[in-house]
Amino acid sequence: MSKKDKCKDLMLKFFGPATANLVDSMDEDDCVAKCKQKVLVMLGPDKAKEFDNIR
Amino acid sequence: MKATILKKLLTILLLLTVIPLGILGYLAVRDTTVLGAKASEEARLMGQTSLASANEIGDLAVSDSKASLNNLAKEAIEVRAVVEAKKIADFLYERDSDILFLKSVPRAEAEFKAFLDSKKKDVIMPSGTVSKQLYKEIAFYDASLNEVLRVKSSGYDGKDYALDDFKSQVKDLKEGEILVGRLWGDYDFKDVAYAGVENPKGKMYEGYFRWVTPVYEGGAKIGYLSLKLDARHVMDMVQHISPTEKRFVTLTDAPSGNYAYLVDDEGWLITHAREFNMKGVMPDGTLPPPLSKDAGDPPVLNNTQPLNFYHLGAFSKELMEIHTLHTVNGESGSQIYPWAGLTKWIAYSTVPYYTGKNYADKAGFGWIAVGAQIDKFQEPATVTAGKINEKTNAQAVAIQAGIAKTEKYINDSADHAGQQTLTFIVIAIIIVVIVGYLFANSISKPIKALKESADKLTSGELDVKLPEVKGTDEIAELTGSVEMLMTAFKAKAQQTKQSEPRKK
Repeated sequence: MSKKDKCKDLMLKFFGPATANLVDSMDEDDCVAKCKQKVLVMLGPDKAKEFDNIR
Repeated sequence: MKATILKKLLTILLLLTVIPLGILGYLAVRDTTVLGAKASEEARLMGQTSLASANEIGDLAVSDSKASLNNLAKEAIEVRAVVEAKKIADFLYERDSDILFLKSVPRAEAEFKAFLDSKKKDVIMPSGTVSKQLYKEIAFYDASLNEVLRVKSSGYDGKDYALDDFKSQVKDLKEGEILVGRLWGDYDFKDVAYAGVENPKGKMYEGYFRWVTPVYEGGAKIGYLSLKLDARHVMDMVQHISPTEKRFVTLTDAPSGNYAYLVDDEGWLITHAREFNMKGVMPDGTLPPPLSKDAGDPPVLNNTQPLNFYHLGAFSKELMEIHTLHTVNGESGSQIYPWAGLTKWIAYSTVPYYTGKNYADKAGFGWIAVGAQIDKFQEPATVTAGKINEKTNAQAVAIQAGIAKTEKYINDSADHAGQQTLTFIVIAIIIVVIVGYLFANSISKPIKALKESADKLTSGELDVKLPEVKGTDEIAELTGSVEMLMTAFKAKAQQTKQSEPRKK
């Protein structure tokens, strides 16, 4: 499972399908950082920590 | 009225498509119309040029044909004048032979009478053809010109004229020589004279031409023979000539202009349909003055109207010059001349008879004229011209029909092209409106749905669902962003809700 897929799953879980689709336009390398930053700003550090598990 | 995105997009699309298409359509229709009008005008001009050419060719053909046929007709009548002149000359030369033969005839009344009776020729009279004696009289004069014997034809009164001074002219004649006199006869006044169709029962001219030759015996002149030719025989060879298809007529119709006449070497008219125009001796033994300007207009003086061509210059210089310039030189030809307000035409030919000192020069016996009405001798040319005109007119009608047909075809084609362009533009506008609506709707619809979701959320309705969006375009990204904001907003709202009871 790629980072993008993992990010997509988390974004779907936190926000919904429309937000999950945004991941498609991101790069594999920085999608984790970008998604984590958005979740940090919108939902707080607790939720953002879940992105730390993505390897 | 609210300016929605849909309306704005539709307006922009319509402005960007309909205006150029409209301008394009207008230009296309205008150019097609201008092209059609120009092509139509060119076709019309070409047609008119063809028509003008056809008419010009027709006119030229008519003119050439007329000129050619006129020349043929003129030449035919000129030839006839020459032929008739030659016939008269031959007839006169036969009279020379007769008088020379007469010298061998015994000078006795019975012999002379037998000679007169043997010489007859048919002449056409108003009542019909009659056999008429050629000679009115045979006379023999001694060397001193005293009358010895005179034998007259039946019915002839033997009238001599003082003006007929042959006796003064014959003294120098050598053996075999002949003196031929000019015409002598009573002048017939206008109101009684025979005038062909105009007066067929009028008095017919009586006159003669005298032939005289000396008679020698043993080398000495013993007298003179005189032979009077009945002038009617000469007149008969001229009076019935017609330049029309009839060739010959019994009664000459002078007003028609189609007739012949004879002029002597002195310019006197010696044969004419109107015999009151001929040279003649008045009862007082003198010649009446010839027609001239002094005689008044109409030129009739004392009921007389003899014509002499030396005096016709005041009426027609051309007619006078036929005599004074041409026939005196033995010429033949034709001439157009004005006469009494009309244009007339005659062919003329000198009568090539040159016997005796009176007729020895080039003028000969005089000349014959064959007159023809211009319209009459132009008849074949006029008929041909009419046929050519008919053909040309038919061609002109065909060309005009062709022009009208071409113009209609061009105009129809231009109208058709214009209609096709308009139809295409209308269809294009309809397609643009439909496609534009669908396109604008695909943008405005999800935005509108997002707005409605956001409205619900701000109204306190936290359980709001965003519209389902497919694809990755800007609308999808916007939806994602809105979804994140709404999730964050819901989370904040729930946190606030949970913390409020603790504060209480």
